[in-house]
Amino acid sequence: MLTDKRMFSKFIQFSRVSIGGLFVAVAAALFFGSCVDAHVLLPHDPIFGISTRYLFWITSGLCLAMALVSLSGESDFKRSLLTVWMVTTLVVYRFGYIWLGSHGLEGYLGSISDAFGVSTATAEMAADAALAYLVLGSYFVLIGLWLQTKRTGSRNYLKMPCPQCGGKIEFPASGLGQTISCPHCREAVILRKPEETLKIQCFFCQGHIEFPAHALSQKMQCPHCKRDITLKMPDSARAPAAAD
Amino acid sequence: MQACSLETCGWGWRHSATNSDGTALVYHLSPPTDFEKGEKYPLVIIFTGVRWRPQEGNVPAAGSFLASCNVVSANEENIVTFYQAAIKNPSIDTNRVYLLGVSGGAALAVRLLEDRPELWRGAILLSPVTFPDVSRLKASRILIDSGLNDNYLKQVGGLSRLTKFQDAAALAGIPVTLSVNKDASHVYRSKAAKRQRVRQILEFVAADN
Repeated sequence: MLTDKRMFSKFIQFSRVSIGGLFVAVAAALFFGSCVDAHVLLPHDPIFGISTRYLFWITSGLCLAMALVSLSGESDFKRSLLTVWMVTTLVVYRFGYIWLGSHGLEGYLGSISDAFGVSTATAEMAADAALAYLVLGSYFVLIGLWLQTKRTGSRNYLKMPCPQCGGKIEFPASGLGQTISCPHCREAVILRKPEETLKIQCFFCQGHIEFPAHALSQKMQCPHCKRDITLKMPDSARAPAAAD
Repeated sequence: MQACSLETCGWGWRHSATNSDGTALVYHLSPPTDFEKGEKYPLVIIFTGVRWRPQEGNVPAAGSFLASCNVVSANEENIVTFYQAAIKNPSIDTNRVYLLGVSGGAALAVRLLEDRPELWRGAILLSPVTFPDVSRLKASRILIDSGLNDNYLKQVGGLSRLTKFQDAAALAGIPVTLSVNKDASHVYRSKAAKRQRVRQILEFVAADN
């Protein structure tokens, strides 16, 4: 199970880095493809109506920004969502060409194919392959992260006994430290980790006693004076509602 | 046709081919400067007559064969005759044959692109005033070089006509390299304009090697 989790994390890491690298490559290709002599005019983009020279510059900048987002720091859901948004925009744009009756991207990739010494058909194939990889990779990372969050989220529930009535309370780990009313006795309870230890002073000998939080309300002998005492919530940790 | 005699002259190899009327047509075939036997090279067919001009004379330096046809005999049928005679050379790659025409020659190239689209990989149209119907093209590369002060071009719409054709071709999947010279007219006179045109042609041809 642990190996699966590690493999999964490595795979997500690989996808993230490869997507970032691909964004850098696309940005470089678009930038160098648009760096033609000033007297050479590139065709107008049929969707936005601007010269593909400017469109390549803008897209190149966006791809570079996405590469930085993708490559910097750890993966998280928001970054993946941003990557998916960018890639989906590119896909919608690509379908826009088809909708306008374009026979392919070849007519717009002439400057790129000349810059890299490949045919326009090869350039178009590379563009479509890069787009397909970006789509699959970014959606895979997003879905993977979502599943991971869901899985760890469902496992991350804690249980503690109510200090007043002893009833079991299950709560998400994110709720630690919050004060709630016990679902059983309606008394105010501070949500704590079950393994958390509490410290009190013996009512009779003032000796220090340390006990696990789940032992609250139980009776025991004081290890110092050997008298029976009830383990109570220390005053410093008492919930405000309970203190009142 | 097809009776082809070979002599050498100062301007490549002199060939003759006979058309369907029985007329002997003369053309010159210049090999690429880096020619090696067994290799395949593109062919550029020009209609500007047999005289050395930088715009076509440098084509072999870009790694391409150059077939130079006598401008007097330049009509569609004769150009196809030249083509059929030239491609007998085993070093010519028949999938990479380009047409090069200036002004009226460009108009002839346009007609050939439309009427025999399967023969040509592309065309180099210098100072064109007519443009092909993109729906009839099979070319995969086109270079257009034109002066913005071209009065003939202005009569058919000027720069917007050029960009309109380029956009239509791009939508049809045909990349058109559009080079414009803002200081030149229909005939390029300044050395800078000529140099720019030659460089553009050489880059275009060399990109297919």
